[in-house]
Amino acid sequence: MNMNNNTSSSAASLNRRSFLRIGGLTATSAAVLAACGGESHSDIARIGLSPETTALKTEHVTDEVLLRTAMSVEYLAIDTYNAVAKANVLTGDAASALEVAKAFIADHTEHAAALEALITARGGKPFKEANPRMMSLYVEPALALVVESDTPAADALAFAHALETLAASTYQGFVAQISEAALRADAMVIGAQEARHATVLAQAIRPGIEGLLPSVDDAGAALVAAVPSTFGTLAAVQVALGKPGESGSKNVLSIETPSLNSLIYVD
Amino acid sequence: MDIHPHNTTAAAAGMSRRQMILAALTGGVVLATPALLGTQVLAADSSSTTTPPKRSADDAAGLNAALVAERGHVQVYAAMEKVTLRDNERTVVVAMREHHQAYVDALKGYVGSSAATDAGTASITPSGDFASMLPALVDLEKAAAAAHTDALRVIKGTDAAALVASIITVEAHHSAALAMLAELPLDVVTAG
Repeated sequence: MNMNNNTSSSAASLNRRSFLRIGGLTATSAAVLAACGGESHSDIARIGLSPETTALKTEHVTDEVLLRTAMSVEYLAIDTYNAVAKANVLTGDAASALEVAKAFIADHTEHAAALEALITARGGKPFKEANPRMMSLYVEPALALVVESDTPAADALAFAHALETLAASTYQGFVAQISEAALRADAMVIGAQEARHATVLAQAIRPGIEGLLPSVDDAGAALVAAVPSTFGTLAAVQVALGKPGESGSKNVLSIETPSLNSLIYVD
Repeated sequence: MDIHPHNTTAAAAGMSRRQMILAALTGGVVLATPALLGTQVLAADSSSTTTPPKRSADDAAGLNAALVAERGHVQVYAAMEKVTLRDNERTVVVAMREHHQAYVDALKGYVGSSAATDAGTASITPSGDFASMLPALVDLEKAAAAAHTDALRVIKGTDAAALVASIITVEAHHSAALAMLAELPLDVVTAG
């Protein structure tokens, strides 16, 4: 039989250009129909409808923001030491730690004043409060664990050590972000003193020459060291706090240097 | 989570059509460039009028000074290893020497072919026992951290500044730890 098939000839006539034209027409029609769809809402997804979004505010990480954040970390330390003193957990053998805490509060107050001067000298606005996010994320849970602990004085020292280590890391980390060279040096003058604070507390936890360098306990857990590494690190600081659970382990709190979420941006 | 977006649009806008095509072809390798540019855009938006470079050839002199000083510190601790020490004291002295040697290696590696060849000078000649040498070592570590901090005031590159800052942090630990062993007053321990 020699029958001509019309469908094959029409398919052949549907060349690439026609195919694209039809596709484009379909998409355009859908868009026009969607645009004419009025305000009726339904739960069925339709082309051309999308929920309204609110763009997040764009923030800029400037030297002023970094200095304000550093100030907020200083006030965080001040508030923490004051809270520990108020909690009355540094008693007995740990009573001498209260004197150390008072000296460190004085140092942190000086740091905050120095940062305030640096900020105002640059026409910025100082931030005279504890970092709100770090307070709610780290300090408040930590203090709750310290108070309920079987060894509150030891836990208070451990958390203070972690916080001073974090403060030192904060300044060290900011050096790579600060654009003005002189400010980097000013930051590290403070950061170095935070590192010395951490060393004093490390020696209070693990005294003497045996506590100078990193080591592990019988269970293989890392012990606090006065000189914890060869180079300063920006790693998260982990600290075990609170009443041991059924497994005999305390809660481990991991605290980190200020992230984008905890920087104190300029209003 | 209340993540604040950074202003990287300027960097993204600076990405030419050719770069975008290249990025697509190379599986994102070129796309990494605007991410790096993004940090520079942020820095440019800071109170400084200039964007700090990641590296600067101008930093070689300052870093070489730090390198030579660190070589001198290595010599001090190496000499201390030759005096009579208890095992735990020797462990500390060896660790300190190794730390300073690590700073020499890092600074030399950073500066590269421009690295100074000066062997440096030991600022202390060890004598007596470990305890009697502690105050001098505290001063050495404090001076080392202070010198590096001064260097930060002129270092332009952020990579070099970050390296020096990481050394300052640990030299601050060194001085405080040695000062604690020497049983110095708290204000001396924590002072720079």
